[in-house]
Amino acid sequence: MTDQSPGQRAAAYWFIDGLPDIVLGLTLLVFGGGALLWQIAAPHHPILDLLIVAAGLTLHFFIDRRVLGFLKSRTTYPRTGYVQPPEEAQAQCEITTLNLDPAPRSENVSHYTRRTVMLTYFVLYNSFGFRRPNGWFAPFMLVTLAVALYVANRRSEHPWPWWWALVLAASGIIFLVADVPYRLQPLESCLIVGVWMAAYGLATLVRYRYTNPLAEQLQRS
Amino acid sequence: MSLSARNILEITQIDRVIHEPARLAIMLILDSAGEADFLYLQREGGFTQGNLSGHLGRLEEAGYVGIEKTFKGKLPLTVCRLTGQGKAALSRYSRQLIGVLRKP
Repeated sequence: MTDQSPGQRAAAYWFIDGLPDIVLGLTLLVFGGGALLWQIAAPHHPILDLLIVAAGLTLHFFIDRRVLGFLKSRTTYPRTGYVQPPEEAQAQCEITTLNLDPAPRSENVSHYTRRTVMLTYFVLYNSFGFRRPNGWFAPFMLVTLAVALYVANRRSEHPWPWWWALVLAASGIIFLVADVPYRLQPLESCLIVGVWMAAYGLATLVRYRYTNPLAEQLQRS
Repeated sequence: MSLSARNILEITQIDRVIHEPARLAIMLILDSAGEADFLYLQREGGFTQGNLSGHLGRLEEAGYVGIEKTFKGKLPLTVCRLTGQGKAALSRYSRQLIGVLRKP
């Protein structure tokens, strides 16, 4: 967007290659998939599944910047350059401050952890915690998550396109068509969200690499 | 717009290092985004390599920008960031310019 400040563009630049979505999607797939396999092999209390997914997201919280730094140093920085990764935005407080300094302040901040990672976990947590004995609950949770992700991020540095949110919302149809046992539904929701995120990230990465070839590739062509 | 003698004096005191549009753009990008490498600045500001080099050299000479050769993984990068002196100069420049333009 052209009306963004340099700081906002720097924050959006963090998501230009789709790698944050791929890493988050794969985290959900690995930990949700692991819990699903365990649940199929040896049925156990769903709270353990919830703990496994929570452990995955906690791990993601602590190491995603390091993993992304490693991946970006091989993919993004050689193509389009390096800018300081965005700081995670602080929660808004009610104190109003008066800034008399006309100089621009840092706007290189991201809401990704709160508005995407935490929001996803919160909705998935509810699908683990409040199981309803009817087939509409998992589709309903996926629609809720799709709407929440779209609305919460629509003006952020990493908006989700409406049509992609619609894909997530519509993916709940799987639960209405296939006969999925209730104890597996939260984990399968987790896998659907993981695939949905990783697929979006992958498409973004392919598009990014296609439009920004490396300098050596440009010279060869 | 009428210019008082004081306005004219303030205009002549504006920092010429920052006042040049390309250098102002570089300073604003670095102030708002934090540190950035040569390639990012080139893309973001639409500069040519030689042009950006020249302006960064001038800003470094004035002590407004620090340039450091570093590594991200195995990738060598030339990372630029505003120094404390640069931030203060940009803040002063903004105040001066706004002050001059707002006065009748």
